Amino acid sequence: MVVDRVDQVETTMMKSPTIEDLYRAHWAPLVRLALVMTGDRGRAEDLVHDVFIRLALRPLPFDPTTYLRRMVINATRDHHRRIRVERGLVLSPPPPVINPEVDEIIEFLKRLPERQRHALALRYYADMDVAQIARALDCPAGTVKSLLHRGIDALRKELNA
Amino acid sequence: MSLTQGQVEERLIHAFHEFAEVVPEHPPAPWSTVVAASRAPRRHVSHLVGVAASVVLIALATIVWAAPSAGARYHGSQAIRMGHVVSVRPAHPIARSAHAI
Repeated sequence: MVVDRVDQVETTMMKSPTIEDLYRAHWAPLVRLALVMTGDRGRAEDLVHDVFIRLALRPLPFDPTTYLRRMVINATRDHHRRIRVERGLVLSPPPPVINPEVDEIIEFLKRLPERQRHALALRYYADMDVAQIARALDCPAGTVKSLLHRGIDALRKELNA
Repeated sequence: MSLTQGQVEERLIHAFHEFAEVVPEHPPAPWSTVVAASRAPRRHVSHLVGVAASVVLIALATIVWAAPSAGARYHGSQAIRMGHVVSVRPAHPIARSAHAI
């Protein structure tokens, strides 16, 4: 009985995942990543939705987890480029207050330059190292270190004020 | 008491994770519903755009392909009939059109 179940699990894991499997498994982590990068849940869900729709139109990649994360990071960066151009954009209402301290930090992060915010989110939420962030943001490792340093320094000043 | 860099980093990690927890564990709708709702209208529009672009491209390619050869046939045959052409290179369009007539 137990052997049958182990066989079933192994067979499932060896099968290549379908788009539906990927959607079920990665939707939440990807929306969370987009959320900490954008600060807006509605936009985060839209970005991830578009990423999955694009993925459905092409053959599935060899390493879907890394690929999807990269697609979401790129989509978030593109999204910020677009909204920089759009003037008079109506932003979604702010999310409900979870915890005053968390809310204070999140509100402060929204005021940071987007590259600093993206670098902080990738380092302290996605747990990516400097080299990975540099590849994701398409900039040198030294720039990433500088973005992280300035971001943390600004946050420290804000929290100490 | 001022916060150290390590304490700031810890607070930031905590804030990010707590903020991200508002997202539920599972998607709000199954994949089949999502894809059915979002792909159908886009596919329709992109299909029309694709057909229109193909028609324009085929028309342009036909014009580019047909115009020089039509001109060469006209000028070449007329020039030979009027006795204006004595000799041309074999690869010249006039020679090709003369060969054709």
